[in-house]
Amino acid sequence: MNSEMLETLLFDRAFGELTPEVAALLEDHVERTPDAARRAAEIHATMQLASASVTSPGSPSIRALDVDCLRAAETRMKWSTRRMQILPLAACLALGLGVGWLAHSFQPPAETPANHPAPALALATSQPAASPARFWSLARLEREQTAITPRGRSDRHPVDLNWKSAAKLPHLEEYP
Amino acid sequence: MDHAVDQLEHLYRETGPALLAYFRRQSSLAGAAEDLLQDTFVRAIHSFGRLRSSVTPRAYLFGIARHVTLEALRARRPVIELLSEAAAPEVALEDARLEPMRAAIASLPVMHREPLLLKLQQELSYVEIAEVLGIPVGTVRSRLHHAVSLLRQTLNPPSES
Repeated sequence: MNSEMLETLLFDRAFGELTPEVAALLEDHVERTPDAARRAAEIHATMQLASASVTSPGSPSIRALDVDCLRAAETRMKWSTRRMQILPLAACLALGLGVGWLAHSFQPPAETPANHPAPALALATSQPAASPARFWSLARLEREQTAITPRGRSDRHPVDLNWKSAAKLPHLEEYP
Repeated sequence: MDHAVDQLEHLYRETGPALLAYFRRQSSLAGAAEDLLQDTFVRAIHSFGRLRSSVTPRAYLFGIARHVTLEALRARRPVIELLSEAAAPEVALEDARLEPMRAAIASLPVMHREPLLLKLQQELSYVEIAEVLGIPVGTVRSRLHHAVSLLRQTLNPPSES
């Protein structure tokens, strides 16, 4: 055992911090080693004198604990804790209401029929005569294209929608 | 929470005298020792959860007492060291070496003197002292060893060659 380790163990022994097993081993070493015994005696004497110089005999008497003061402190702490719990909830609720109000204020305009394209193959004769917004209205296409090339109804052949490019309006084609 | 007050009353009976002695050893605070003791337990109820989860309630209370002492000393004087001198015991000196030892302890640096006094006067363990001072157990151990080494040199000065 080196000198430094011995000194450390002797200090721990003087402070009562050794486990019983280690204390027994150290005791055995101290008994067999004169140098260790001398150091142990010095440390023990130092600790005894230091303890005697700073400790006073007996325990001072104390007055009774102010329980009312403790209970008042406990009540204040309870209310403080509840306040800390309620404030964040109230803040969240206010924030949620605010966000909801803002969302309602900036609601997009109601949808108009013009935004909904009519089914492609529905020839709605009950539709208004002129409805330029109805892109998909075959009736509109038929009116426009028959207006350009007027033809009697008896000359009509079955028609089909020809729409080759999304960049252009479709047109009707007659079957031969 | 009446349970908390009951537990603190029990701790007060167990640890109160040691805490009162701790406050009275601060010579400038001896007159207010009992108020500081009550203040310690009022603070303990504010942190009752931590008291219950501490290493020992005794060590936690001494930690609070230490903070109370520091605040009281700062309020009285702007700059002051904690435990600037080891308070003299009330009994008459029986050993001529006691006074030099007391002076040697008072001249120790605070970081060594504080754990030494907690060990000698309050008989706290390494772990409890570590909790009171908020430092690792290894640091407590090395500071105590160094303090005793310095005091040992006072009792047994090396002979000059």
